[in-house]
Amino acid sequence: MTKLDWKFMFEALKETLYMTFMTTFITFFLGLGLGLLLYFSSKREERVFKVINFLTSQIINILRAIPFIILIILLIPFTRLIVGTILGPTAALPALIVGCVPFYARLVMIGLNEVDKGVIEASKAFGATNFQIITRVLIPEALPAIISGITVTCVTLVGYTALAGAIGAGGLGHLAYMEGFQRGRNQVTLVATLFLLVIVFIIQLTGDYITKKVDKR
Amino acid sequence: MIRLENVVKHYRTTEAVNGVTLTINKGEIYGIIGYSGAGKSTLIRMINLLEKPTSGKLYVNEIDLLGLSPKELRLQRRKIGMIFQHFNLLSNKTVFDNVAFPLKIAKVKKDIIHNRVTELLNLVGVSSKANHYPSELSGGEKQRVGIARALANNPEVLLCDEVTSALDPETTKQILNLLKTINEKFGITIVLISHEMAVVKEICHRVAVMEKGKIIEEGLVISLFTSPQTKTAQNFVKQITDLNGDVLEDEKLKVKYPEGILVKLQYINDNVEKPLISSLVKMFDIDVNILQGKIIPTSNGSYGLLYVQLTGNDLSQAIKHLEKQGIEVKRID
Repeated sequence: MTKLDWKFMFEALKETLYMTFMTTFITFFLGLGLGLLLYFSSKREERVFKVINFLTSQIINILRAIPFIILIILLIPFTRLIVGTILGPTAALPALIVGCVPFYARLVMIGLNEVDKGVIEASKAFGATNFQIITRVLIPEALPAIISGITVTCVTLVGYTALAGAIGAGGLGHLAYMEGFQRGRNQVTLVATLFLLVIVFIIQLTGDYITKKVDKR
Repeated sequence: MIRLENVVKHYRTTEAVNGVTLTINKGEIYGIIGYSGAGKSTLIRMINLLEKPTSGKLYVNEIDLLGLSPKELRLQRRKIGMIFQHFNLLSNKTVFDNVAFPLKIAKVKKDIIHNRVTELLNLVGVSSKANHYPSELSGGEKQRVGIARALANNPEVLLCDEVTSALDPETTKQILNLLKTINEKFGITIVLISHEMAVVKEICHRVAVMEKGKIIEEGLVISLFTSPQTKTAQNFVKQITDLNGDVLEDEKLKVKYPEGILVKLQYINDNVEKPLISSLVKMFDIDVNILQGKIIPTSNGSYGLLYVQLTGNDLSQAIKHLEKQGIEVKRID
């Protein structure tokens, strides 16, 4: 049995972490924005908002229905256009983001829907603007759901990076597939799996901790 | 202070408020009583335009709210505080921050906010809980915080939406007393909706009875007791005048006490404080047997209800004497 090349392992770990956290960061803002758009457009009676709501909703449903591995393939031309290559961790970002944002936007919308209607009514009665209602009422009140939502998304995302890795994005998934599986080095696969598990555990524990901390209900 | 002119609110399939006209004076506590579905909740929400009337006119402090731009409306709303049945506090903010909320929205300076909030928490008696979260408070404390929050911007009007319906009777009394104090101390006009006569008679000066989106009766609280015009009003009054326990109906009373005559006496204000029965016995050659009764204090005076059996010789003179004193006498035959 050949010795494990730890330098390779840590290089792959770094790539996985890079993909995970870059995507989480971008998904957080895009998903929150899209979630708010969904929430607000569903509350309005005007036709424009109904159309916006219907379109956003359908796009989200379609994107969520496509299996991730196929989504990557479908997005190859788009990726090539904006990143310039389809190989490497950065090239994986567009597909990862497109895969995660709709999922997170839904979770955000569910969280916003659970905010007590009475609290929003009270804020209106005190003369709050829509912007103030978003920043001072909706987001703070839905914060536990927003945090636990990004935690769930992030955990799912770790799995996606491994999948993306298998088709050229690099990272632990790439290593496990190319080195571990293709060359029959089970050791590599096991260590890569262990690394992924540790990442997932840390994300979950941190997410749970913060959620609990911000939830005063 | 508040004037509604033929205000109507239609939803797609239902008519919640169906042409309401009313005037609420400055500094008064005005009650709107009605069963659920009567439209009172919609009505009170139209006063600060949380619900937009389908038609009609609405003036608060002589300002036509329906003619305002969204921005002007937000400024006017700061002068109209509101408290709610389910308190509607921000669950992820402390008591202090909840009370500070309307001030932050109005972009008041931080040190002024601090002083004002401290003052308000003292006023409502929850200053020891300033750093607690709403989930750590009792219902009564939550409503006190709600009141403090509603008063933060020094409003001229306070809207109360079933504010005691989620509270036990003892806490209800405390909250009503607090509202009364606020009304007397700051001269704030209070509009209160409720389905409980007990709440209305405790603090309201005037009351409107609402049914099917309309106001069917309006007047002083005491007059609602002495002369309710509609069946609904009578039922609300009965919530209070019903004598608890083993009460006998008029017919059964007559069977049980066949001698002499039975009368039902209704009286208000001064008469409650007079030694009515003993003077009657001294003045006439009769005996008075009190069968059942109740005296109910309201904010416009007390209302008394007595069932008595009169026996003896001067029955008709005695009754005339009672009537002369302004007591409503009803013979039960």
